[in-house]
Amino acid sequence: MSRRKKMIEGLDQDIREHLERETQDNIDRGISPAEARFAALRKFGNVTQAKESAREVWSLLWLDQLLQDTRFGLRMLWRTPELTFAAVLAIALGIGANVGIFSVLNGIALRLLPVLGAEQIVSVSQIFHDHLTRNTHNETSMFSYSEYLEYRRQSRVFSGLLAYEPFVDATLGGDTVQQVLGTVASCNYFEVLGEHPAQGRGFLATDCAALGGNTVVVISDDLWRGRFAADPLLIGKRIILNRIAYTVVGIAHGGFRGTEPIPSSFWIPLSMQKVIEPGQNRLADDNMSWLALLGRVKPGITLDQVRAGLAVIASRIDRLHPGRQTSLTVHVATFLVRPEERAALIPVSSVLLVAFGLILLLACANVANLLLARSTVRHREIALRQAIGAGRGRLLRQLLTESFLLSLMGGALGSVLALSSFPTLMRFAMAQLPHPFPAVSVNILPDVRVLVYSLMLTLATGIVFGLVPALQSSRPDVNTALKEGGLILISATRGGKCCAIL
Amino acid sequence: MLILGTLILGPMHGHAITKAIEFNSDDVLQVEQGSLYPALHRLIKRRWISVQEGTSENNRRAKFYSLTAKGRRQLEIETSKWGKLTGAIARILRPAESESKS
Repeated sequence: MSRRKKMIEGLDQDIREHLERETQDNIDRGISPAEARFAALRKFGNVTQAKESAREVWSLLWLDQLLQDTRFGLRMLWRTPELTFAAVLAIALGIGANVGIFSVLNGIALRLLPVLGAEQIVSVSQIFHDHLTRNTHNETSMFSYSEYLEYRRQSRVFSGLLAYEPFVDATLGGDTVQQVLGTVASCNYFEVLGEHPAQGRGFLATDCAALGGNTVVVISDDLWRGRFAADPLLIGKRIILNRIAYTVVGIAHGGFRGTEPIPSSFWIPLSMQKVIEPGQNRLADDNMSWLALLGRVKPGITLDQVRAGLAVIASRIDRLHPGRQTSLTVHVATFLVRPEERAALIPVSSVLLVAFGLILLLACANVANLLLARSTVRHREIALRQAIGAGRGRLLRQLLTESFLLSLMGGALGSVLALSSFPTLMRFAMAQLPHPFPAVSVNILPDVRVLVYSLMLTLATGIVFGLVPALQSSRPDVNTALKEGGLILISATRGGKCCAIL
Repeated sequence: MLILGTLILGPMHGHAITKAIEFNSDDVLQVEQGSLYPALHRLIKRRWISVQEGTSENNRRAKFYSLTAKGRRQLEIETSKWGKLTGAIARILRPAESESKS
C-alpha cells in the first residue's frame, strides 16, 4: 500500500486514541467521566478540520487539477456540439485510416505465425554473393533438397527443421474441376510447427519413404468446407490432384492456412514433388532454390547462437562447391519471410504509411483551424482567468486537456471503425483482383502492436492540432482582450497599510 | 519546530507530544491539540520524522513518532535561525532598555 494511503487510513484511529487518552487523563485528574470527554474534545478543537488538514497534506495537487481540467473540458465540448462533432469525425477518419493500414501491414509482416510457440520458429534464407548460376523456382533465397538435408543433419540448434515448397499449382479433379494452390512439405512439417490436423493425422515416416509412392494428402479446412461440404467421412477417401489420386489422411484446423500470405489448400509429402509437378524433378537438382526452411529453436538458445551455428554449416557447404559464397538470413518467422519480399516491403509500406499519415495531418490542420476560430470567442473567458491569476502553464494544460479529450474520442471512434470495417474492405479489394490471382489472407485482428500504434497516434494528434491554438489562446494579453470584449476593468487600491508584526 | 524539538528526547506518541510541549513550556504554550496531526503528517511527508507501531505505558497500542537523521538536521537549522531571530530582536530592544534605565 502506498505511504499516502497508509497515513490517511490510520488517521481516524490515531485521533480517536488521542481523545481517549486525554479523556483518561482528565478522569485521573478528578473530573467526572462525562465532563472529561467534553473537556478533551474542547481542548482538541475541530476534529473534522484536523482530519481534513491532515488529509490535505497528502493530496496530489496535479491529479486534482487534471480531474478539474477534464471535467471542465468535457463541459466546454458539450456546450459546442457542432465543433466537437466535426472535430471528432475528422480525427476519427484520419486515425482510423492509419490504424487500418497499420493493421494490414502488421498482419502481413510483423505478426508471428499462428502456431504454438511461434516465437521459437525462425525462417532461414540464403543470400548468394557469388556469380555462379543457380536454378530458381520461386525465390533464389530458397534451398535445394540436398542443402536442406545437410542443414537438418548437421545443425544442433533446432529441435526440428522443416522444408516446404509453396504455391504448388494443382487441378482438383472431380465433378467440377478447380484450380488450387498447395504445399509440398517435408515429413516433419506438422510436427515442427505443432499444428497437428484437426481430423485425421499429419505425415508419418512411412508416408515420406518411397519417391513417388506415397499418395497421401492433408487438406485445409477451407477446402474441406468449400469443396467437400464438410463431409465427415472424407478421411480415407481419395481426391484427384493433377490426375493422380491421393488419399485424404488429415484435415487441418480452421485457422491454419500455411505459412504464406496466400493460403494453402493442401499439403503433400516432399517425396511426391515430381508427381505433382510433372516434368520437374527438383529433389534431384542440387543447384535449385525451391524449398523454404523453417526451424524450431531449442529452448534456451538465442537467435545469435542459431545464426552462428548455421553459418558454420553454410561455409562447409560453400567449401564443397568452388567459388560459392553464401550468407544466411535468420529471423523469427512471420508471413513475410524471404529477404526479397522483405526488401520490397519497406518502400511499399513507407509510401502507404506516409500517404495515410498525410490524411491524418490534413485532419489535424482542419481541427486546428476549428479550434483557432473558436479561441477568438473564448478570448474573454481566458482573459478573465488570467486576470485572477491563472498562470500560462496552467492555462496551457487546461487547453491541451481539451485537445487530448477530442483526440482520444476521435482515436477511439476511428480505431473501432477501422477494425470493424477493414476486413470487409480487404475482402472487397481482393475480390476486385483479376481471377487467376489467388486471394491473400491476412489476419488484421487487433493485437498489442496495433493498439499501441493507435494510442501513440492519438496522443501525437492531440499535440499536433492542439498546441498552436493553445499557445495562441494563452498569450498574456489581458487588457486588450477585456476591452475588446466589452468589459471595463476597475482596479481598486486598498487604502491603509498592513498591520505591524511586533 | 516545536514538535521536532520535543522528539529529540526520544520517540513519543501523539498525545505525549502535546503533553510534553505544555509541560516543558510551563503551560505558556497551549497547543490546540487538533493542529498536531496535520503538523505531524507534514513532518512525515518531508521525512523529518518517522512513525512506528508500538505499545504505550499502559499497554495500549499507539503510533510512535521519532526523529530521522534529516529531521535532526532540520531541527538544528531551525534552532539556529530562531536563535538569530531572537538575538536580533533582543539587540534592538536592549538600547531601548538602556534608554529607559537612564
